[in-house]
Amino acid sequence: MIGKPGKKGCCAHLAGRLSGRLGRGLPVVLAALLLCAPAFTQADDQQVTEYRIKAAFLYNFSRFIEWPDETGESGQFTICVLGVDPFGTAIDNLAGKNVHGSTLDIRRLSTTAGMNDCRILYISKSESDRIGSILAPLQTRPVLTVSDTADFAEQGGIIRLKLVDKKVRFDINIDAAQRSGLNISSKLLSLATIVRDTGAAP
Amino acid sequence: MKAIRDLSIRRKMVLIIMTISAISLLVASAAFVITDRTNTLQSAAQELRTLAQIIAANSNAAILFNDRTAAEENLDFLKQQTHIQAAAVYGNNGETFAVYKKPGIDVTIPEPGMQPENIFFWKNHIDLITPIIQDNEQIGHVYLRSDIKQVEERLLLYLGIVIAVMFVSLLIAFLLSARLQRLITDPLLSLSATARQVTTDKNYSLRATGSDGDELGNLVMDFNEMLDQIQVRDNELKANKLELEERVRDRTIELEAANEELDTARQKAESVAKRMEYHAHHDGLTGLPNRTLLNDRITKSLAHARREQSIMGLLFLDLDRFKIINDSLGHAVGDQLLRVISRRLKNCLREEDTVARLGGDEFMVLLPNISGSSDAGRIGNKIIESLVRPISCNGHELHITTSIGISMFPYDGADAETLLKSADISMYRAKELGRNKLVYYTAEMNVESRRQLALETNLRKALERNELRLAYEPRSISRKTRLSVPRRCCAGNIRPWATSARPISSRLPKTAGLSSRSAHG
Repeated sequence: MIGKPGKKGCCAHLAGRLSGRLGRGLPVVLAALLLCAPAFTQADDQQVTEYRIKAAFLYNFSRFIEWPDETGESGQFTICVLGVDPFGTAIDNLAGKNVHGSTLDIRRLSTTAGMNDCRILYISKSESDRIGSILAPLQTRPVLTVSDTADFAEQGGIIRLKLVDKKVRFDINIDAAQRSGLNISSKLLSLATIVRDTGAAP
Repeated sequence: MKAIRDLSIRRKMVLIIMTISAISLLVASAAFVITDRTNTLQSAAQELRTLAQIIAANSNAAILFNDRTAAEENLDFLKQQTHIQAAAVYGNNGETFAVYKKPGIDVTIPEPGMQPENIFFWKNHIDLITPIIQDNEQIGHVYLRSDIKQVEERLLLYLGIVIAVMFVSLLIAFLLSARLQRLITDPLLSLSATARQVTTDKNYSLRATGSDGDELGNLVMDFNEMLDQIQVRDNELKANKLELEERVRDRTIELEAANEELDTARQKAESVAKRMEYHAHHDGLTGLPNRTLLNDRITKSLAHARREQSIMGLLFLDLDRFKIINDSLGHAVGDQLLRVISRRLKNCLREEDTVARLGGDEFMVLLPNISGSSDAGRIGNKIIESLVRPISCNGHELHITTSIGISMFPYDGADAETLLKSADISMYRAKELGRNKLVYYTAEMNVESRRQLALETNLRKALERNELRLAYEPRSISRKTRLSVPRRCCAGNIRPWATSARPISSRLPKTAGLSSRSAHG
């Protein structure tokens, strides 16, 4: 992380965009990685690790949260990534795992259409400008919204991922979770920083 | 062991009961304690498992979200569990999420790494490993270490209770056994006491009491029956004994009477025997020892003298002219005279000397143990002097003398016979020498005595054969022409000396009792 924010941002964004634009093709990702190879230094390494952990977190959240019964009749548990995908293959590794009796499925979204089918919706930093508009229709929907964006929980998102002492930690807005009808385990809550709605919340 | 054998039966019973109770209690208590220890350990292990499971359940989120702080917070509650010495939460990939160590205790926790469920019972603690499972997948494990002080404390408490219970149980057992043993010992002791009393008092009318229906009761009954029989026999025995005693008493009385009779008879016989013995050895008239006793004493004295090489004297006394007194004054006077003479003789002698009457007017004095012939002569003279004093008998004043012949041992003979003969010969010599004399024996006397004896024998034979003839020989005619009376002489042709110059003294026939006419003498 020592004095190379430009490169880090360039490479990550490039990779994200490439993979976002060109679909989930592995060759594209590889090409992006190769292009960025000279810039793949310690900091990039760390970022990859960070997102691998975050990807694992997404999966682990599902283990401590219960969704209302009406959802998931499709037999699939879908994790959606909205905006530029920062996970890369790390999140694809989760696909096929069993969550609450359903098979885990990864879906990358470029628009908000189809958000309702997601159990977990990861909102990339690329969408930080329109968080409010994304969240608004999902407020009472059983969709777990997760994002790295600052003040995400305060804005009505349910879980915000953050780095504390180089460790991935998260905030949970229990009011938002309650609105969504999600039942979050106390174990998970005990690990989280609890956030309540600000005055803006209903 | 001997001390136990010597115990009374009561004590033995109590001891047996107590031993059995104690062993049963010990075994039961040991089983109880061992079981309890096992159970306690198991329940401690179970409690530990529960604890571990709580930790595991609480730690899964912390592991999954890599939150060490939360994991450590999960272990915070162990501070209240004083028996937990250490705890740790491990991830599968070698991460150690949380470690708890009880303050003040230095323990090492295991290395991280995937571990299956396990439990280890150590001497002082239990190690437990419990996997942390999330959605059927092990994501880590919990390590817990617990001391078993609680178990030991509990065990100690149980031991205390067990000992207390044992003590109380044994006390109750003792009290109960002390009472219950009487069921058995009382009849036995009563029986024993009765038996002892019967033995000491010999009273067979006693009976043992207390008969239950058991073997002891039978024993008491048998014992009493035995006593019955003994009593019957004892009574018979007593009756027999009384009868026997009576018989013995009767017999004793009879025997005593017989004994008395016997005693009297024996005393009579003894006195008769004594008298007879006295008469056999003493002269009836004078009470002096007779010839028999004298001979006996001479024999003894001789033996003594030979042994001691001492000198012994024999005095043969013949009263002179006693026959005249006897014939003229009567036997009564003679007898009295003899008694007086006896007393005087005795007075002349020592204690150990013996004077014996040989019959008629002959006496013999035995002087054992004298110093020489002079002693014998002194005593002989003393005797002669003692008779000088006249003796008055029935108004007669009598004068009597004695002739004494002395022979000495060992000079005049080696045996009693020779000595007596020597004394006899010397006494005759004394007579020849004129009576009232004391003559010692000499060897020539013996020759003379022999000659005379031979002459006497021949004379006796000649008389028998009528070979004697009277011969007269003329005596020389004196100057006054007086024809001497031819001397009467007996001569035999048997021996040359018969015609020898020496005439046979007319005294010889007299002494030999052959003279038809008694000469004076």
